Amino acid sequence: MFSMETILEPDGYELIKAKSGREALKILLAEFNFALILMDVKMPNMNGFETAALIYEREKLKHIPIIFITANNYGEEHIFQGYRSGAVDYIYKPVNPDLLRAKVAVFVDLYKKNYQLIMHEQKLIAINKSLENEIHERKMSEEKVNELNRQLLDNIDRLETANKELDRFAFMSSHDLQEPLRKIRTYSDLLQVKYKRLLDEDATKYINRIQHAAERMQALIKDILDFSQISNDANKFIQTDMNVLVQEVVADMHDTVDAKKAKINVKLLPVLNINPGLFKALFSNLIGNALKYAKKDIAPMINIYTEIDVNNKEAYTINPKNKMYCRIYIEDNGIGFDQKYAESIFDMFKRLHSNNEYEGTGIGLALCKQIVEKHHGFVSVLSQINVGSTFIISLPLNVLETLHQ
Amino acid sequence: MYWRLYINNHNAMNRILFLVDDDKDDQEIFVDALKNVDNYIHCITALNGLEALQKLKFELISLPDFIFLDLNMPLMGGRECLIEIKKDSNLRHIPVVIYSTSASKKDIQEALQLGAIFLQKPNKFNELVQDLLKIISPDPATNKTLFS
Repeated sequence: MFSMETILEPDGYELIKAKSGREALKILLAEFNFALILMDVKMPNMNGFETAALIYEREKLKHIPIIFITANNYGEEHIFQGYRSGAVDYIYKPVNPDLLRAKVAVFVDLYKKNYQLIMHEQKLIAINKSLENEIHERKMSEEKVNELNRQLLDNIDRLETANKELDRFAFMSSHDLQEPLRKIRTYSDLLQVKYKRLLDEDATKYINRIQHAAERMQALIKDILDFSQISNDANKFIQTDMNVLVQEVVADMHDTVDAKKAKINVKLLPVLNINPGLFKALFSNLIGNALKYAKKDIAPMINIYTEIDVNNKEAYTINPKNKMYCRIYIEDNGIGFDQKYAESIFDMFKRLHSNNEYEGTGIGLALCKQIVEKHHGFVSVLSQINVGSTFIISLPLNVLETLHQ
Repeated sequence: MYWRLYINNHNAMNRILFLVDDDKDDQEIFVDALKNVDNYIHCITALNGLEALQKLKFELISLPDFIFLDLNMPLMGGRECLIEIKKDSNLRHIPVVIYSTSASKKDIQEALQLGAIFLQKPNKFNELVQDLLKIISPDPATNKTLFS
């Protein structure tokens, strides 16, 4: 054994010695990762073959190659027994140092390569595992996204239903509110008509106030009804000559126009694919506002004109996803308002004046906004106190749409 | 000869108006206004379409000269009742006025399509009197244009 140590030590191997099969087993099981076992066949108590058999019974040790070192050639039978017990090679005494070194070198090299392979495999397994984890996580997050998506669609669905219900509710309630209100008006009117002579000045005044309040409530209910009906009407789009439509709206208002000595200039407007009923309400509200919020001492002047967004035309030709807009301007010389209210005036029931100054329900512009949005456009306003306001309706244009100018 | 003349006279003097409305207040106001228009016109009433049809088909001895139908009524509304009236060859010649609080385009169009005229319940008593005057005017020319 000593001689072997001296032979192998210069090659830098770490050698661990055992004096018997039992001790060898103990060491093998306690320490780990031996590249090679060199074992004497002839040992006290338990010979090399028996030891090898015991070693190879252990799963952990099965892969360690054993080279038997034997002094005598016991013959083929003996060698065969060695191989059967798991040996991979034999070295005969006296040991040839070069042969020993070469053989050990081969096995150690093999062990090292094996070790590397195992490490590699472990790495691969780890990578695989993390890939699997990642896939699992992706699947989970995909499922989560799907679930969220489903919830979102659910919510949209619910929202739409709620919206429809709300519209229906607004319609029904405002419809049913009309009846008692009409009665209030009719009975107070009857009081006035039938008992005119019995009523003193105050009584007449009070009845007038009842009438006035009821009228105002009727206007509110009518506007809410109109508002609730937008969604129902919004789907019918027709190619409409805006010139004709605006003229019709203006004609309907000729009483007010005449009374206020208003001038309404309508410059050539395009033909657009819109819902005529809704657009009539839109123009009626905007022109009505221009007349209502006129200056007391100056006759109202309302200009209605259009502009195709030319700047965007180039953008459109490059990419049809860039929408082209048609803008319709309704410009007045009225009392105007602070530009900081430019957004909030489109809110439901938002008003800038008390009902005593200017009558109104605060629904008109909310209605306008809703109507333009139903046409996938938007409405905005530029205003200056004592100068006037310009309402701008912007509608996305389909370039195929004919623009009769 | 005398007999016939009497009948004609009777008809001209005592025309019948049939008001179908579930609202007692409205019935009262209507009758009140009617008195201002024509003191001789006789008003009979029903509270819903079913009752109206029952009366028109089986109970009334003489048919009314006008039928005023409210739209929203229990059991049978004015629209269904109008359809039933126009189906009946004995009744379809009687002028029908849909008399309703709502004046939605849809309701008005439907009334006209079904061969009735539309009258929105007015807010003022005098308006109602004026409206009734126009509708039940004995002048055949006025009536013809209204119920063409």
